[in-house]
Amino acid sequence: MSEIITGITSVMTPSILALMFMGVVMGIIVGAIPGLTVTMGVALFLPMTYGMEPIAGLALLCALYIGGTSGGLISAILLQIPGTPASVATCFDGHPMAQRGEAGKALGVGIVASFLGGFVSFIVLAVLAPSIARVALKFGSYEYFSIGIFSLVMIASLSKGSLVKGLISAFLGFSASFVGIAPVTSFARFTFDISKLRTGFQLLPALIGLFAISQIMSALEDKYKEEDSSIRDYKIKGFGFTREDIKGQGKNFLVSTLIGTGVGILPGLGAGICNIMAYSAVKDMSKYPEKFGTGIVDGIIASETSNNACCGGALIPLMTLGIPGDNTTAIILAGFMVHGIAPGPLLFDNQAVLVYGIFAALFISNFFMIIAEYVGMRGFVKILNVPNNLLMPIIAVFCFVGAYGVNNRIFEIYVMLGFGLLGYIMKKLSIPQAPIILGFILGPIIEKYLRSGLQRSHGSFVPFITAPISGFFLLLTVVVLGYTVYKEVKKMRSGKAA
Amino acid sequence: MLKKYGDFIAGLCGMALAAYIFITGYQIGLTEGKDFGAGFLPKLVATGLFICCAILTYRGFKTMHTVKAEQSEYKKNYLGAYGIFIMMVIYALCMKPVGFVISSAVFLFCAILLATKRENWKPIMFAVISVVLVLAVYFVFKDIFGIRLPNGVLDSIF
Repeated sequence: MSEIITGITSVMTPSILALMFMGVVMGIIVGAIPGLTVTMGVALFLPMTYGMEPIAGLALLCALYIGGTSGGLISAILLQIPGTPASVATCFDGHPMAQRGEAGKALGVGIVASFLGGFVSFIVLAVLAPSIARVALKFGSYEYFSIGIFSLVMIASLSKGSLVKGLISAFLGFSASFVGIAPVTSFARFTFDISKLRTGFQLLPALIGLFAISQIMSALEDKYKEEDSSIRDYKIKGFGFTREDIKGQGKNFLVSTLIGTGVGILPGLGAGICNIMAYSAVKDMSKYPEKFGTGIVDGIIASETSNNACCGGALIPLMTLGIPGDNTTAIILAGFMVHGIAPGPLLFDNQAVLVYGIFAALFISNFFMIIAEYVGMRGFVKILNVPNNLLMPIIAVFCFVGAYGVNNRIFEIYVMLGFGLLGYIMKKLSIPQAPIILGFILGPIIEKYLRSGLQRSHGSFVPFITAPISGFFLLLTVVVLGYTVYKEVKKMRSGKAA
Repeated sequence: MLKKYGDFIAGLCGMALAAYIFITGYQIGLTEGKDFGAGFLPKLVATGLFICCAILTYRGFKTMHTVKAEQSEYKKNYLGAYGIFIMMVIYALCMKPVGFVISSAVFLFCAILLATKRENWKPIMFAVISVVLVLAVYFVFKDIFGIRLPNGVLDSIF
């Protein structure tokens, strides 16, 4: 008990509290700017922590992580450009709400969902971390492959109107991920002898291109559309929403938190995947799936709850096993190591005060996040007052800087433009953009675990089915796919009958 | 036009892409020759892509004669959409040799003009916005985020 109290008081000094608040605000800014990722933000501040006390440095990194993960919702809602891969699904319903003049409500719901998602996952982290980590340790290549396939099939239900178009989008994303060095055998594929293609396409330029560049082109296309000035009147009371707006969202919240925390625990998946997974799961469960994508709070709650819940989840394997759950926690792991602390099962015994200090820092940063975003949201919505003719070219410049900053190469800008053109064509053909992103992220994961699994089983597919967890997910995949095809066929027949 | 023939043409393009991926994947498989090789998954994905695109082509072909052309409530500015894309390509090509500051300021100014209706053009104001914003972005990214943007011809100044 004394260790808990000592741990909590260790972060309650004015200097550490100020550091955490600054970290949260910087995280929000980094998260909100398309092209700057949470990982980048945490990496930028890592050298600053070298000279600090371990608890101060780690508290700062945690604050950046929390702020950055939530900050992506601002640009996703206001500009339809996800600030980070973690907020891709927030665009789907957040931006239509902003277009209807409900930007305040969308931001408010997103901020509160982020806070609650993070809060619950930190409780899970604090209470169940060691036992959950032991289960996660049992996951091998068969299980990861099956979860990857399951996630990919889940996106079929994301496809508005056409399963075929959704699958085409996912296969295109998958195909784009083949470019570069193949996993396991390091064979260079689809590089056309261009050395820069050996590293493959980076996620961030692809994401900026698909969402931002295509959006800029569409905005220019609508130059002569009369803008409705009435939707620019943003008066925000409290968090911008009423109790009635979020009535009946408990189940949605619970499912999204579970998905976020669960995906976060599994190393290598991360918030970029869980927000889309949670969105599609909630849409599938909904009594009104047809309303998703038109601007309803359900979609924002699913995405924002899950991505912040992923933070707590990703910290579980980091702190209990020393395995980072995603790229950002890999940098936080470096933050532990520069202070000579090795995360793992012994951390809870040898550094109990530090562990409880970190738990306290997570909860406090989460509170700072909601305060900073609550205060800032009245300012954020003002972005929408900037007329499109100025806003879109300015966003283009930010996109260029963001893409260039990934590797300090002009090549990433070309990649961004290529994906931008592809995104614009996809929009014109009503091909959904979310599956291409998920296919792109999951492609290398699925391939890596399929091939290492096949090597383990000497080329046999049987263990993928007979391993209990893997078999369960494959069965679930078949059920989801079968149900989606059934729904599609039923819809087509009823359309014909009408 | 796009609404009428879009699915049909997109399906055909997708099938061609899938065939290319499959053939390339097949060649990878032959050269490697152990386990399922780096060409296995590309072949599998190409097969899936081909099937889906074939369905899209078939559906597009069946509906192309019945779909009516889309009527918009306002005049669509397709030239603006293609124009901004071409400007972005030129901007990307110039960024390294000319430098971020000059190429961005010129791009921003031209892009704002392109996005603004002729009767609302305010060239001096647009020029000021372009220069001030680009300089602010340059110094914020350089000094705060540590991203060194290309200096180009201004290398001796910055």
